[in-house]
Amino acid sequence: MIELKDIVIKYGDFTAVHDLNIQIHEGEFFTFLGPSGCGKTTTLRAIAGFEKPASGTITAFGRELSGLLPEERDLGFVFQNYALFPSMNVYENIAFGLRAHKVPKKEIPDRVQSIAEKTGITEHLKKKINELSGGQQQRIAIARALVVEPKILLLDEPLSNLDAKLRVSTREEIRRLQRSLGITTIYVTHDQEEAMAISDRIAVFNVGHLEQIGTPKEIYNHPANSAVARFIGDINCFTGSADKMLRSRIDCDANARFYVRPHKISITRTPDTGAKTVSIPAAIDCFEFLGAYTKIIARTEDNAFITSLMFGSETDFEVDESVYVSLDVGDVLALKEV
Amino acid sequence: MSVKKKLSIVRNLLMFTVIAWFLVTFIIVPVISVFRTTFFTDGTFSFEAIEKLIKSERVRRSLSNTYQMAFWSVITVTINGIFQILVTEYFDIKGAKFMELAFMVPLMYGGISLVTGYNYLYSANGYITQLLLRVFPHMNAYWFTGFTGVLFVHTFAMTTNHILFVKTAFRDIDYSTIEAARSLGSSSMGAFFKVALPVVKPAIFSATILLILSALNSFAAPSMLGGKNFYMINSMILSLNGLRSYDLSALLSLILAASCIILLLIMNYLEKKNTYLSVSKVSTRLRKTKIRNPVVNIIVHALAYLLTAIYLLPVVIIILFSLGDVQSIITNTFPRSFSLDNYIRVFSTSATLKPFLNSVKLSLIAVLMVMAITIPSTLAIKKHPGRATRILEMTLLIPWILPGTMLVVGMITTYSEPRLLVFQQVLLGGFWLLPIAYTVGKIPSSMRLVRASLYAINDSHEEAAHSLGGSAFYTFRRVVWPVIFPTAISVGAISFNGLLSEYTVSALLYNVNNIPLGIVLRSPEMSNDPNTEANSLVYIVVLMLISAITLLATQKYRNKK
Repeated sequence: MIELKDIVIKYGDFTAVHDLNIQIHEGEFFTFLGPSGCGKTTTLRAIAGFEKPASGTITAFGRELSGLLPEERDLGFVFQNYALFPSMNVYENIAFGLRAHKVPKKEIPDRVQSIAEKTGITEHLKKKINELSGGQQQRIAIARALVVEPKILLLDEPLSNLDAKLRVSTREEIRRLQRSLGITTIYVTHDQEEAMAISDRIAVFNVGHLEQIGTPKEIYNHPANSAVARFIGDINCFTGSADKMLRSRIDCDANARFYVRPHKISITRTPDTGAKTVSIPAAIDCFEFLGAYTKIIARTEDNAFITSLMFGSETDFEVDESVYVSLDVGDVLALKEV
Repeated sequence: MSVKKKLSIVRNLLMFTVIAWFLVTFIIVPVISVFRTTFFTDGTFSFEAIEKLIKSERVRRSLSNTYQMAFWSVITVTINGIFQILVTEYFDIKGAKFMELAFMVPLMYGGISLVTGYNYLYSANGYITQLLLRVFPHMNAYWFTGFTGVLFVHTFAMTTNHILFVKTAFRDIDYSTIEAARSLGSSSMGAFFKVALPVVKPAIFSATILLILSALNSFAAPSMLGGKNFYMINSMILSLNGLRSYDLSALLSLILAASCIILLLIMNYLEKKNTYLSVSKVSTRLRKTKIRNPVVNIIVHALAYLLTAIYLLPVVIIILFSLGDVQSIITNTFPRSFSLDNYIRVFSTSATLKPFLNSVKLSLIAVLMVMAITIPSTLAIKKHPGRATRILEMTLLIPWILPGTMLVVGMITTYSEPRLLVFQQVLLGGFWLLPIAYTVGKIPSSMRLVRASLYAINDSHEEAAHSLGGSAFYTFRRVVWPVIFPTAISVGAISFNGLLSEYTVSALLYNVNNIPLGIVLRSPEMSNDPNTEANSLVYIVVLMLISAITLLATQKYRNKK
């Protein structure tokens, strides 16, 4: 288990990470998610020993890490830009950690070969680093980190330099590899879809604060506050008359705002009069065809926009047609504004 | 053809005839002359010079001294250089910024003024040697004479240029590769030697070759500190010229040239073969690491401060002594009172002011000639690619490949008698050969810089100016000149600064009526005037000031650009 307790990280007077507490279970795929500048990479680098927390402790598998140098922490780190050594070929890059760990010379070729097979880079072992594509470099960076059999694998936005298609296939590979090795993994990304797709649990960061920890489902369906809700997936925030209508039906804190996911909203020509539904008069503003879905954007009487998601690409609504935005009270999230 | 165009052709023809005459007379003919002097005795081919070389143990020893000196300089400069990078760039050392400045001090005073300054401190009577003798009475007071003295000067003076090269490469290292090495189990020292250094290896190779070149060509240090028995190739050439043994000195200059050409070829090959371009799209800036082991930390700090002192002490002591009274300067005792008397004397006495003004004159003439040759030539090379301009370019670069002494030996052997090329004049012993030799030496570096700035001009700007009705001269004045002007100014300033205390060419070509500053700096021991040493110190401080101003001004000027 990895435990971060009361971690504070400062750069001079600026506090990058505030009072952070996280527990990560053995074998878990754990993701730090958040917009840039939120402290997620800083926290990861603190675990690796590249940043020194101003206070707090980090323990991993019962060992206190704070007093240890990066080279003594027994973890693998995959850098955003891969950080492959340009003066060495692929084989030498991978063997570097084994040599630094004083692995007997005889064992090195077999271990390099074995990790190369697992990561699918066997044919590149003799190549120079600058002869490889971004995707290949990425696999080598992972192989280099894994070959020393670290207890923990840290990945700092490893897919951000790849194109969209390659990102999807590579993230699946990373997940498969992690499952087969059973290695505890901490993954940093700003891409919420990526985080949802591969994580066991996610920690959502925002301006140096941890906002929520949970499984992808928990975070999507029950965001702890407005920052999490806005960051994870599309969401409607109700203002003006719509807000007033909801407030009369839902009992909640005066500071809370109402949020509803677009797929929980339906557009109807007549108001839904069910006991648990609310219908807000609006007009169709525009459509966005997204292939399997159609996004309908409606405009309320006081010019607020509400987005709804419909399956299929056919709709018989017309722009400026008067409609009702209907939603189930149970789907409304009353969230604290941060 | 319009009259205007005809005029412009005549003008260009005239200009390039003069340039061609200059290059043939002062570069090509001297080079040929070196071969002729070496291999032809009284008009017949012979190996007499080689036989003389084999017979003369003293000359042979100068050769082996030179190569040994180059070898040991590489070792000491590399150690010093890597240490400097470690303490200024890699490890977190207190006062690193200040150290970095201290290590750059040799840029401010090079060649003969640095050697004179060091000699004033470290020679047997020198201030620091005398101080050391009080602590270690049994040490050799003459340690700064001969091999060790020259190696000492090389180690501290040559590292500065060497390191500039490597430091630029070092700063481009992607810091995350160092972090990666550490997370893979390497210590911070291990990451430096296994990951950072290999990446800058190509830069170290190139810098090392340039270092060998400067060590082989070293002149001021061996001729001033060598003493009676330690000669290197260049100081031996000077000595042989004094004995009118021109064939042997020409042979030595050929051997030196051959060594330099081989080295340049190796460098060319290495530069093509090894370059480790950073593969990362976003590289992280280098961050300094603290040394964790407290004992190592103290040792590294102490060594770094000692090195800083070695770099700074000569400058501080020279400045202080130059302000002291003549008696303390002669007796090497710390001055009790300070005044500007020495400066006032040097600049108000015609005998001491003369060499200074003479050097200013010589350098100015040389700089103007360099500009008059390189600017039109570079323009022609860029505008009219072809065989003629290629030959022109190659000729202009000859002085970069061949050592200065070889060209000067060629000039001496050619123009020690009347020649038709120079209208039946004997140039040796007159005024003009010295500024001409200065010019030849400065052509390649100026040309490379001017060419670089010229290629920054967008061709379409010139075409636009022509199509708008601008004549060739008008276009040059309004479009081309503004772009190359800043470079021309800074190249001119740097060349001028370097020539003010030039020694190599001066030592071979000066005469009693034409004494440049470099020669005066070298001669305090030979003079009976009690003020000579004080005067030298004043000259050195003034040269340092001029260098510092030139460096700062050109740097600022370029940054603005």
